[in-house]
Amino acid sequence: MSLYRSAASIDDLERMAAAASPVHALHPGVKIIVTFVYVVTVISFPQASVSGMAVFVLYPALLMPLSGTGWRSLLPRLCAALPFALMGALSNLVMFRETVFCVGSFAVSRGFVSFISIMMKTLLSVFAVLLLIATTPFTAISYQLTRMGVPKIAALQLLMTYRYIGTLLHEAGSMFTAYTLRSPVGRGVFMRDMGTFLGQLVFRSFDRAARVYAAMRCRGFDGVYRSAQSRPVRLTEAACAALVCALIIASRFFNVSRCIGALAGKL
Amino acid sequence: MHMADALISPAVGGAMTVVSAAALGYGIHRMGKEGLSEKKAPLMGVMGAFVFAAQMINFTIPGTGSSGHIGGGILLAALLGPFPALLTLASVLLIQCLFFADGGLLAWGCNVFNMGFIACVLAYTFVFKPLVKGMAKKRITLASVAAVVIGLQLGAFAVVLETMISGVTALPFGAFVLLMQPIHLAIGVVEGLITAAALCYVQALRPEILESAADNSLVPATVPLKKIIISFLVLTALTGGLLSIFASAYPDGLEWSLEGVAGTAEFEQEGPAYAAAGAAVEKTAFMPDYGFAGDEEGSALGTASAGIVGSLITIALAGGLGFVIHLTRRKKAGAHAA
Repeated sequence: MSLYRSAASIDDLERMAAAASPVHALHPGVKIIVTFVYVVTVISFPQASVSGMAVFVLYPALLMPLSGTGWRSLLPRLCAALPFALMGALSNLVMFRETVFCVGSFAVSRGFVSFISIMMKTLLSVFAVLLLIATTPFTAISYQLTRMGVPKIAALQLLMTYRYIGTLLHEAGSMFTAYTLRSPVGRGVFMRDMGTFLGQLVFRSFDRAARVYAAMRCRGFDGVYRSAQSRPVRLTEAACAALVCALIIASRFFNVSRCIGALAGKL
Repeated sequence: MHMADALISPAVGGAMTVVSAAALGYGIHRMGKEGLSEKKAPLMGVMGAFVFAAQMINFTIPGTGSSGHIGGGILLAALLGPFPALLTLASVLLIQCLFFADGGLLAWGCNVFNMGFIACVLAYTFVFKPLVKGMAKKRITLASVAAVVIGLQLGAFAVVLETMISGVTALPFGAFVLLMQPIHLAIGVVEGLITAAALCYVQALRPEILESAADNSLVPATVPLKKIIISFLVLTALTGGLLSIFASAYPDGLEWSLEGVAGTAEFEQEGPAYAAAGAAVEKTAFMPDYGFAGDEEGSALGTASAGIVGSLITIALAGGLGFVIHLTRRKKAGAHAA
């Protein structure tokens, strides 16, 4: 991903997080907890289990339209998660060749089931995290993390990194453009120039940090980042979150799809 | 080298998160003691953004036609000191996971350990710092290449170990090691050279930056690092062990809780209705108890069908429901606009 495209991608998600919808209106703490429970539950499925996970599709399928988050914005980000998972999944496809069942003349191997399982886990867990970030401003997430016990310096560091990513991406972007304009051959920076290039970026970053620190001190910064207090969790939100978490955990142990399939078979 | 959630088990993810959090907690504690938190925060924030931007810059590798980017662990540790660098990299990894799906939420602890702790703390303290003494150009180059190569080799090996212990993939240990180590050796040499060039440039023009990082290394003289590392290893083994014992002793939490409530893990239900339902579920179970049904010939299709059909129906229902909500919301928005 190019420097400018990464900056645009963050801007995109920030715009999405600032929209208004029932999901956006939920308390950030509630969304963080539900996302975490969902991801851990999905990952806890054994590799041979596919049908049990199918019901977990409901979560993104409902949250996406409820929050007004579009496919087009999430799909490219989903692809970024695929390569490493795909390597592991493909290895299972190659290694586990024994047939577990047949569909018509198509023999389904253990590796194929495991392949589908890993890819489903990847897609579902990435979807959940992307939906969290697309419906919750990052400042609200950082603030909630401190409420959950994360040290203030870690939350401050997270927030400041996030704040300056856009600035430094543009800084690096203009350096990169200047470099490519002077050397139109080649796809990127030549390796021999990379050290100087990075060194220049280090100086720009340090200078920027010094200016930021001076500006913060002028505004009375004393080591504590003061963000707006978020409202308390409403009782209905807490109840809803508890119910959703309970449903997620129950779906881990009760195979809904299998029952629907059995019912469909009877009909 | 970013690990994904789908390839690790919750036990490994949980254990590594505890270990990484402990390392970060220790670093934050030391920074607070030295009174560096306030001063370093803006610099660490901007340097986090620097690493993020630096990872986006592709450079061409001569003779190969391919391009690469740097990881930046050693560069960051040389500029900030090991623990501030670890904290910075941890936040970069979290932002990458949240915004770019690069590495998973549960795998964050693994990634912080593999790319942050190993490079910024271990490789920097044990390889870079002893070798770089004097800050001569040759010394910086030797220290950078050695530290990056060793850091990446250890990191890649940690990826292999975490993946193997998780047991999600069928990759054989030997093949996986043979795949990961040489690739990361090549990457390490290239990244080491670039790190060295960048540090030499910084040293030539603003030497105070590197000297201040070396002074603020935050590694106390009184506590030997050996002790810290042993503590982390024990912590990993303990949390991983406990979580694994929990996972294997109680593979199904619901069954476990049923056992506590009813005294038996499975309810014996009687009556024709239960018998019919039980037979139907038994017959159509795709993967009863996560084993594969239908060992006998001819029965496999029947046993698999409910799982497949059920999954497809569930996914179609979920998609349909989502589409209906989408249409309703669009209609409402249209009515509002009118």
